[in-house]
Amino acid sequence: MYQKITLFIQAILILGVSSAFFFAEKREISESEKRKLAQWPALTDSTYLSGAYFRGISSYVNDQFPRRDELLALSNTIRYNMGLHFENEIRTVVVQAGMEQGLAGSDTSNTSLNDFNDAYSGGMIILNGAVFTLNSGSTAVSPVFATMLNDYANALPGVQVYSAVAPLSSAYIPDEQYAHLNGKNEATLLAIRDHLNGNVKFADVMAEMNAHRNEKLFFGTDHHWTANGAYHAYVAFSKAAGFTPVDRSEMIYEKRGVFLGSLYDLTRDPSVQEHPDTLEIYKPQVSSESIRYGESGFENGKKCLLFSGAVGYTCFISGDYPLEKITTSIKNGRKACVIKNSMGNAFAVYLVSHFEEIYVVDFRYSKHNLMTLIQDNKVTDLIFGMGMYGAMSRGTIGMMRNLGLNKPYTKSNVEVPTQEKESEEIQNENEKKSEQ
Amino acid sequence: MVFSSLIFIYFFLPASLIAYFLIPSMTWKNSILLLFSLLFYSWGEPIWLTLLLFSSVLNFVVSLWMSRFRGKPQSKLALVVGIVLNLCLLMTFKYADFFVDNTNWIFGTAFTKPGITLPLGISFYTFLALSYLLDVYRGHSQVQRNLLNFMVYVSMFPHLVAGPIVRYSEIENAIHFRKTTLSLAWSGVNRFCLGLFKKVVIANTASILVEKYLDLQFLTLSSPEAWFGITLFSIQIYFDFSGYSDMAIGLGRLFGFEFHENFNHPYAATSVGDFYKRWHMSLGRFFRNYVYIPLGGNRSNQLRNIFIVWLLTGFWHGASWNFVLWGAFFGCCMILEKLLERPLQVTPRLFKHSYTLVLIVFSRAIFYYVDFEKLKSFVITLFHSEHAVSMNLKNDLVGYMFFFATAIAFCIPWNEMFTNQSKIANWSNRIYFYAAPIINLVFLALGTILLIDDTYNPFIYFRF
Repeated sequence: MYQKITLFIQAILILGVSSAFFFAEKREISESEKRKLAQWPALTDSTYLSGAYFRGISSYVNDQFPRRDELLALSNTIRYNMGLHFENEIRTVVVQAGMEQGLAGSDTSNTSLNDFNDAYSGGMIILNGAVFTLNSGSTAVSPVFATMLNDYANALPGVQVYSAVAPLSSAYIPDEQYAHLNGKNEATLLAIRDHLNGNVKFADVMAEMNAHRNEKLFFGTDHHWTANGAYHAYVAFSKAAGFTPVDRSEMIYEKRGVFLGSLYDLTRDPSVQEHPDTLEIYKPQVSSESIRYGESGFENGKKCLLFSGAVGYTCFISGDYPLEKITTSIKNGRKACVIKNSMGNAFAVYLVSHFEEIYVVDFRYSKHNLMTLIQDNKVTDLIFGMGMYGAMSRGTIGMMRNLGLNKPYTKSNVEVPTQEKESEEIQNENEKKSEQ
Repeated sequence: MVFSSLIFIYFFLPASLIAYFLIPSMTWKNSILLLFSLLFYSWGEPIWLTLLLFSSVLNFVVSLWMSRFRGKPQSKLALVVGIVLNLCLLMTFKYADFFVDNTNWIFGTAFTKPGITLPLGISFYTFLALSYLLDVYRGHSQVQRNLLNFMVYVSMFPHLVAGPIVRYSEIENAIHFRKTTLSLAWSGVNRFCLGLFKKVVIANTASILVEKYLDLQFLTLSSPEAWFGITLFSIQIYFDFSGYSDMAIGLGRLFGFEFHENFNHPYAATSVGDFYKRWHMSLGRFFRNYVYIPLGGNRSNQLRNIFIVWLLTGFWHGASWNFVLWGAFFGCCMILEKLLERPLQVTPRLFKHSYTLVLIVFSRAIFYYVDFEKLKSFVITLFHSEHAVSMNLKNDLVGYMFFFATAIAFCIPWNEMFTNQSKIANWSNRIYFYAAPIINLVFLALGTILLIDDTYNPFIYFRF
């Protein structure tokens, strides 16, 4: 009888969980994991034959499992507490398939994770509460990136093209045991340099950062660099461009507070939670105004801030947008266009000391015609300023190529508005239209 | 699909059990079991379902042919044709790249590799079919004249993708007449939950540490760390595979089948020979019955026979020279044990146990590193390294002490130790009887929580 009753109870419990799944509300996005959750997959010949359909159902069950967030938190706590923990310990993080879905396209005002899928596909390690992505670049793709820059330089005579690519955090793992994991960072960047023609200038970002490797160059809980890391990239760029970089003593220093970034969201590791990052920023003393635009066209421009009030990486140029135009008080006739992924945000803010206008284009979201943008607005400097995630994948390079090289120049009827007032006018006009 | 996944535990298994028990007729029960088994297989590799069906029908036809001419030369011809066709399937789908690679290497040719992805479970279901053909030929089993029943034997999901390699005679009667008794279901549930715990909690935790030592720290390992890492891999592979076998046996019981054991506390062995009587026992039985004994067993050329069996065992594991090397290593170990049989008999048990463990743990390196250069470098590191021992080793040894204690506790054959002490055995059985449901729920809860962010964590033996 005991066996019968207990077997019955176990069966009821399992069926109870199964039933709860059907009644549980299905979600599209996980706020806690900052990613899209798997939806029921579409059944087609190809998804069936490749097995993607069935794998999709498995992912759907995992992602939509009742009380997923609570179970996930519990799972991380159990994993963490399986062993005792010590100072300076190294822990490895197994990357799960589900982590590969970022929030791209859903809300570009959030810091998207999709641009560094390649970077963390090699796994991560946690050293004393700081997460380091382990992928360290690929010299095989460097020539493809360099060729794309050469092609832009050839297509845009009179515009100076720059490569200002940053290494991954794996380049600065502060432990000799794992020093070999940073192997390809430098080689990848140098291979880019070696394949550039004379029309493209190479900013040796890594060399500059190496000289300051004992400083905090990357966040520990986030996959981005710090304002300090980005500053060294700016110095490297200034050297390549022939500027004198503005010293940080001439900027306004602010300590904003502590935060947990994207890598905490991914790992949910308690040791990472115990070591939050501090957001420190350096504001150039140049007045500027910023307007952000949608993925194409120049309607619906909205004012944004060079440094928003956010305590996190989204502080820099207010986050990732398809196009941001920064107008500064500098009058020297030079205008820059920065092609970037999210790493370019912290870099672009320093450029306000050197350019009249800066067009910041996020190649992942923008559908603007880059040739038109550059020629109509008389851009003098085209800077590819980004984290290596963007330069080590043929897919992202293809996106950058598609921005301009695969599009003919077409005279734009609407030039990018230069004043916030104009932007407000556009907004007012749109509001009127929508009211009508 | 894998047993250790939420979709299997909460949807596939309950659905298959409900459908199975709602139907009274055995023919329909077998149909349901087959249907769910094919769905189970499709989950991972729908494209290879056709190969599984082809192999099943092929072996069914060959067995009928063999039985029709029983006692006549045609029967032997049918057997030879069946064996050759099965081996051809295995060679084509598992070893084609390996053969092309080696042909190009030896003859300097430039044939293109076919690049066939290994069909899931092909090594297991091919050996299952071979054992069936040989047993039918020898008259150890009756031929199965019903295709449905035959396919249930070959493709039943509890043993389909990673064994155990069940002999037809073990479940011949159960295919026609079986009943899931209360005690069978009870023990099946207990066994499944135990397997889930072994895989999800122990093997998966060990795998994180294994990756850390054997991959991430590979270039900077000290000798103690190298031994620690490879010992962890020994823990991982045992709990991964025995956990899978526990789940397979438990699932079999839920459907009324009683499979033979596949593991018997192998790390308690006192010789390499003893180890392989306790490890992956169904594969050992296959090679003993169908290769070793027909070659002459221990009556003629025993040492040669041992070596051949171990080379084949190694090659069965994968299309790579390191598996052949692994087989040759154990062939040599077994031969040495045979030659030193008398002196070994009088050596202390502790010594025998220790040398066995050292050899087994060492052999895992050959299993882990498919790349020969890496393997060579790792073996050197095991005995000499310029690197000092890092804090990681001390931290992990101390930090994971409860984990190691649990793993070791599961490796000890408590039942063998207390066989003669019936009082203790009775008491422990009694306590387990009442505690089992609670233990199951704890294991199930832990499994569910740890699987929530783990959509696919295949078993190591899936790649064989």
